[in-house]
This record gives sequence, structure tokens and C-alpha cells, in this order.
Amino acid sequence: MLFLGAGAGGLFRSKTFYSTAQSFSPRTFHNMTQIKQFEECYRVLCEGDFSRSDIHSILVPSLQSLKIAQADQYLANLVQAGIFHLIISTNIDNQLSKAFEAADMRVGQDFQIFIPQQHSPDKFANTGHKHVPTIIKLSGDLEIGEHSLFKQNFYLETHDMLKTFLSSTLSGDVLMLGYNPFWDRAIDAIFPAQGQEIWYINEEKPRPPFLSILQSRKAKCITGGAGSYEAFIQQLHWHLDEERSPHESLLHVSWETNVAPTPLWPDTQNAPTATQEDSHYQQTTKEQKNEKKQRTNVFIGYSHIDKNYLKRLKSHMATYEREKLLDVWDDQKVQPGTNYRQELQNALNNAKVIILLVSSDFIASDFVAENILAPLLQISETKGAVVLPVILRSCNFDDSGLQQFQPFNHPSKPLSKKSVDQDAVWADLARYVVTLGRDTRYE
Amino acid sequence: MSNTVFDINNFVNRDAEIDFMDKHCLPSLQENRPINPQFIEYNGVWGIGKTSMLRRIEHHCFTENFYPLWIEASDSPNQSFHKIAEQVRNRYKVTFSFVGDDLDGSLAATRALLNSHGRAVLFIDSLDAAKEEQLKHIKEMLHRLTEDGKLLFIMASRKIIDFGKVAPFKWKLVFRTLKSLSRQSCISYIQKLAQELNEEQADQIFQLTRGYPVAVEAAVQAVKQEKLDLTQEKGRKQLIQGIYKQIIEQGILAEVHQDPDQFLWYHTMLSLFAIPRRFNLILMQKMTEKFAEQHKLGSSLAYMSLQKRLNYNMDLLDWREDKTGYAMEAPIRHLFLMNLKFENPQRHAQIHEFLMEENWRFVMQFSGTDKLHSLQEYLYHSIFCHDEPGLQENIDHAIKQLLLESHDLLLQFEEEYTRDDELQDALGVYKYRILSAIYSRFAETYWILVPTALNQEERIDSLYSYILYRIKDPILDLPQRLSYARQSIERVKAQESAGVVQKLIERLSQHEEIQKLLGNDPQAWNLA
Repeated sequence: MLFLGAGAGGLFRSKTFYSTAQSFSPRTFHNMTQIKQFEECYRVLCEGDFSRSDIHSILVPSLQSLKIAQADQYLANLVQAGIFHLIISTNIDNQLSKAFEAADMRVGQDFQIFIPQQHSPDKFANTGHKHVPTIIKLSGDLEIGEHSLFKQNFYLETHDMLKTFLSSTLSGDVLMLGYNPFWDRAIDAIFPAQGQEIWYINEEKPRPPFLSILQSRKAKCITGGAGSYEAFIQQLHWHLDEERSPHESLLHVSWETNVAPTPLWPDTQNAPTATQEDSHYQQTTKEQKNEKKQRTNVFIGYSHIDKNYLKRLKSHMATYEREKLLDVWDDQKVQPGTNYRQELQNALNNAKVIILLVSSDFIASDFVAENILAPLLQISETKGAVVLPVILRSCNFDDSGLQQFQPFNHPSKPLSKKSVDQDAVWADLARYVVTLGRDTRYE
Repeated sequence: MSNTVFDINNFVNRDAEIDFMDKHCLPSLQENRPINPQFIEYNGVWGIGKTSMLRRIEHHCFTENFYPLWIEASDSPNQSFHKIAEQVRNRYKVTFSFVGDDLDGSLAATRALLNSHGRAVLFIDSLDAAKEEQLKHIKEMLHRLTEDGKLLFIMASRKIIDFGKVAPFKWKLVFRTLKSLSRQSCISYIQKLAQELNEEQADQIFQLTRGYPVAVEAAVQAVKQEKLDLTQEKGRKQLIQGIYKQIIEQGILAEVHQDPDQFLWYHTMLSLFAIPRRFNLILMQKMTEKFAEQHKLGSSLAYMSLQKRLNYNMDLLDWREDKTGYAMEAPIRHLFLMNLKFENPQRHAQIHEFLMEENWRFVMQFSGTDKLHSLQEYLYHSIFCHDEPGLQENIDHAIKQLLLESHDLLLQFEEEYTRDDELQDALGVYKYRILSAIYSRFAETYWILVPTALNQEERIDSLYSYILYRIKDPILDLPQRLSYARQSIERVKAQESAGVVQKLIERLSQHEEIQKLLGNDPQAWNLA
């Protein structure tokens, strides 16, 4: 059974939604992670003086222009392949059903949607879900105008039979994606503390009170960048799409991902983890074959005076390099005796993300101007590379010729300032570059 | 301003802009390489001096033989096309085969000028006033004249019109935002406009207008004509009312001026939202319900449309990322503020008091950056609703809350506070109390960090910072600083080796920031 929380839904990736909520919030969104922003949006809508129709007026435009997420398309493929039969979602948008329809699945025939607020729960519990893949929209549906998003309890609190069915289903093996303790808190009440395995996949580590359910179910956990809905579904799809044999179980495939799930607590330390042999196996089979397809080429331009900054950045990117999500190039990779300029040009041309460590020395360097900045503008336009200046030290960024590229940190807050948590910026940057390598998160 | 006759002799300030043009733009007109950046767009509120800026550069281009052409985007396309052809033919005596007063004709004229002289500069003023058809033509012109990189475009617009979204301009477009004049430039501008005004009078005009050029001009005119005495409350009130009438009522609100109901609505609401330095829709709702109840709306969501209505045709309120909220254009905001202060001082104080309380609620509710920002606003509003003892008490409350925060957040606050000129100006003599408390805390923190140092270098770093913050307190004078520095060294000597003390003193004497505080002659400090 697949559980999709709010972090896997359309609102989570709707830029319009964040900017609308921000205009009602006294808090600073741009200092927060996306998850914290999403939770602040929830707080704003819960605590604000909004009628039901006001909330409808905020949510509808937020979802209106969203394109189908690639992760939803991949999930549709996985459902078609019979990997998932039952999906329980707390999302009230219709993004997933749109993705199913885009994959030529017909509602009613190839899949069905069950909305407790609209359909008879008892009927569903008896027969509804057995024949075709089913999405249960626990919180309701925005289009039909019935949802319980900002209420304490799910609609089904009063429907014992469905509640029993869900408790029983959720006590089996569950793959949880995108759970959010604010948006999805109503699930806590019906989630059994006892049962079979839970695979908890999320960008953030679990927090109380849901943490206690995960602890008692001895859940396995993938968190961080690789735990986002997009990243995980993409990985899963890739493994299953190209190499899946009918005998491979989901569990087995998951173990083979290069992001091995980690046990959360000491008593689960005996759980299988990716061994060196596994790693070797991965290297010599799928990974090797598809390495090019998976990695994001990252180019780092810097002044040699700033090599200590480069070192810090690379240490933050090392994890993702090991996970083969990034392929990072800087001029330290150039071997003696090779054509330095040619190597540099090749690296720039191949880069999907170009990080520039900007300081007065970087800006003043003729070599940089000639070999990096001059071709940079053309590369960003013709090849669509993303250019990310990072301001290391105070400098005239606005007059540098780079000002048309949005810097990662504000020029008034260079990394050299004592008040700036340099490691936090590098960590954010590394994570951001990984997400750039995937599909665009916001739309 | 586009309606003012430009006089090069009256042009002041904008040194950064002139410097930018001289260093980064104009040199490429003399060299045999494509011009880059090729598009400069000046932005800023009405009356800030965009046209004067363009005229100043045009004057320079003309004297340097860079062949400037000038069009007004507010003209019709045909008028603009005609003006280009006319300037090429009459001003520069370049002949070309006449095609007509249309886009092709103006392109032919411009190309003829480029063929004849190699380089030229096209100035486009009042882009924001361009009608859709005109804007379309301008974009087309930009497209077709960009290719060989011989023509520099310099434009002015109130709000950014991002031609960068239209490839291939993206990488060649630079935006420059013009702000009000600095105190020094403002005074020199006033004295150029009216030599009879002395520096004190000029300073009073600056205080009332905060260097907003169009307001400065109106103020100078009023002082000259009506012989206002700005040392008296009556004179200041009369001046502000005159400026408000001219710039706000007959300028910014001109479109609604004839309709009393509409005008009253805009006047009330804009005066109200000029008081906070930043606000969100919830605050807008609360302020409306409390101070303009007759205009309150049915729901929180409806305030999204209020912001749009207030902005109709004026674009005064923007969402500002740096302030995380809506904010009114600073020069205009100041005029509304001053007018309300003179017109209804009680209401002015009440609104500030409400905002002070709201921000204190946020201070108690939030942590981190949000708390710091709310503290700054709390301090700002406190100034306008308290007498001296009350203000001192509020500053103490703020300091107490501030010192509960982590070292990193205090550093962040110090940086933001020292950049917040408006708050510091308003705090007047109290502005140093906050820095004094912060620096004292920093000194304590670095002293505590000394034993945790992993090596001698780190140890000296902490000791150095300890002494720096002991003497950095802005309330101290030089003898006090020297005395503090010596006391601190004695304290260090009591627990550190002679080697560490020696290296510390060497480092202190070499450091520029310490030299600024203690004087340039380290021998005179007598630290050893």
C-alpha cells in the first residue's frame, strides 16, 4: 500500500500557493526550507480569518496552472505495471488522476477514485477496491468542494467500517511518501501503532507524535534530498522500468537503490543494509550503464585565492557525488600535461549547473573573464545551463556583468560575514543543485 | 522629471551612476567590440530624477561624440519614428533614403547613423507611459538594432520593464534603481536652486523631504515665494501641506482628485498604510478595521483586492522580498507620513502605537530572523508614540529581548540595524544604546570562548575580538577607549602567556579597525 502525504501533492509544489500564503504571514518565507514554508502556509490558513469559500478561492488558483509532475507520471507507470494497487492520499488536488489519464488510464475502468465525502464508505470497504487500482482521497476533493483539510478529524471518523478497513490496510506493509506532520496530522489518529513494515520516505526526519508510531513499527527510513517524493519515485521508476524482473519484489528493488535506507533506532541495526558487494554489484550493472543519464554535471568556477571555499563546497557535494547524483568539475581535476583551456571549455559546455564562487578577485581575474564569463552567457542561453553565483566576499556584484544571474545568497550577505552560517549555505546549495538535476520542483 | 527643463549646472549627486556609466558603459563606445551591457534601464518612483539622469548622460554623450538620439515612449509610435529620423538628418547631418515615418524608416535612419559614425546611443524616456502598441514597436526596434552591438540603449521607467525576458537581451540588460538624494547632495542641490538659502535652511528642507528631488524643488520654490520660516512649526506645516498638495494631490492622485469620494478613500488609505514600513494583508485588515472602519472589507481574502485597488495606476505599494511584506515607495511614504503628522498628530501617534504593540506581539511570538525584524519595527514605532522616559523603557525592553538571542542572530541584528538609516535617524541620541548593549555582549562571549580555543591562533582570535568589542562601544570617547583597551590587556595578561600577549598586541596594532578606534599611532596606545 502506498500512502501519499501532502508533500507529494500539488500544493506543495505550487509557487502561487506559497506567494498567496506569504502575503498573509508575518514570517519570512525565504529564510525557511520548503517544508517549513509549507507548514507556515498551513498555519496561515488554519489560524487566519478565512471562510470555507475563502480557502477555496486560495486553493483553486494555486492548483489551476500546475502541470502534471513527472513523479506523478512515473507513479502512473508503476500503477500500470501493477506495483501499487491501493494508494491512500491526503491530497485534495486531482494531479495524480490527471497523470493517470495522461498515461491512458481511464477512470472507472483502469483505476478508480474513492472520496469518502462523496461515495458510500461501506460499499467501498466491501468490494470497491478489489478489482482495479484505487486512489482513496482521505481528505476529500477540491473540485467537488468537499474536503476536510483544515479540520481536526477526517470525514471518516464517523464511518466505522471504512475506518476499520483503513486501520487494517495501514497495519500491513506501507510505503509512506511526503507525510507532513501538520498537513497530514489527522492520519495519526487512524494509523495503527502495531503492524507490518513501514518504509518512511521523506525529506525531513520524522517528528513526534508520528515518530512514536514509526518507532513501534520499527520503520525504515530514507530522509534528505533522496527522500523527496520526486527523487524517490524517479529512482524507483528507473529501477523498475528498465531492469525489473517479475520475481523482484519492491523491497528488494528498494534495497538496491544507491540510497540505502537507514534504520532509525538501535534495535533495527540488524536490518539489511547495502553491503560492499551490493555496491559493487550496482557499479557493474545498472549504475554503470546509466550513470550518464542519472548524474547532473556541475561546473565550479572560482578564483584560486578562494580555494578554501571551494574545498568546503566540495565536501558538501561529496555525498551526492557518491550517490552518483552529481558529477562535479573544477579545475583541480585537470591532469598535468592536458590542454587546460580545452578541458575547461568542455566542462563548461557539458555543465547543467554552473556554480560561480564570486569575490572581488574572481571578478577582477582576466582569465576568468575570458575563459568562463565570456562563454557563460551563451551557454546559459543556448544550452539552458543554470548559473548560480555564490557571493563569497563583499564585491561589486551589481556591476560585475553577472548581475543578470540570480545569486544563491544575497550580495549583502557574503559567506565571509561572520553572521552567515557558511556550512548551512553550502549544504542548501548542494541540495538545491541536486533538485535542479531533477524536475523543476516549483511550477 | 520629464516635465522639467534639464539644466546640466543643477545636476548633483548620482556619483555612483556616473561612475558606472563612465567605467562600464561608455568606454565600450570607444572600442571596437560589441557594447556590453547594451541596455541600461533606470527605475525609480515618479520625480526621483530619471529623466535628469538620462539628460545628464545624453549631454555627456553629445560632448564626447557618441551620437545620442532621444525619444519619449509616451509619444505615439509615428511621433517617435519621426523624431529619430529628424535627429539623424538634422542634428547629425546624415543622409539616408527616406522610407517613411514608420518602424522601417526609423531603423533605416539609425542604421545610416551607425554606418556613418560606428556607434550611437538611443535614449528612451518614460517607458512606463508607453501604450501597448508603442511598447511592441520598441521591443521590435530593440530586437532589430541589437545584432551588431553598436547601439547602446539607455532607458527610464518607473517600474522595471524586463526586456530581459525577450531573448537575446537577457545577458546585456542592466537595471539601475535611483533613490533619493543623500543629505550632502540634497543640500548642494538646494543651494544651486536657490543661492539665498543657507545651509541650515537647506538642511531643514532635507529633513522634511528626505532628498526626494521633486519634493525638494517644490519646497525650495515655496520657501522662496512665501518666505516660510522653517524653524517654526507653522512654517514647516505650511511647507509640507504645500508639497503634499502639489505632489500627492495634484500629481500622484491627480486622476482621482476630481472625485471627492474616491480622493478621500485614497487619501485615507494611503495615509494609513504609509505608517508601517512593511505590512502583510492581515495587518492591512487590522489597520483598516481599527482606523478606517468605514472602508473595512468583508473577509481577510478581500484585502488582496484592496492592495490591488490602492495600486491602481499608481504602483505605490509593492511586495518587497527584503522586507518580507508590502511597502510603499520610500519618498512618497515620507510625504504621506509628514502630512499626517502635521494634519492629525493624534491619529499619527495612535497608528504608531498600534503598530508598536502588534510588533511586540510578534517579538514575543517568533524566534530567529522574524523576531529581529519585529524588534526593529517595534523600536521604530516606539519613537513616535512615547515621550522620552517611555521610549527609554521600550529600548530597554527591546535590548532585553535581543540579548536572549544567539550570537549569530545578534550579529545579524547588528548588521541590519547599522544599515537601517531611517531607524537610526529616528532614534537620534538613543541609537547607540542598542549597539552598546550588543557590543558588550559580544565582548563577554569572546572572553568566554577563549578557553575553548583549540590552538593559539584561535585563542588570539577570540582575545582580539574581545578587545575589539570592548572598545567599539560608540558611546565611548577616545580616552575611554584607550583606558578600556589597557584594562582589557591587563585582564589578558593575568591569564595568558607573555607570547600570546605579545602576538595579540602586534595584531591589534596592525589592524585597521582598531586603528580607526584608537588612532593611527599604536605607540601612543601604551598597551604593552
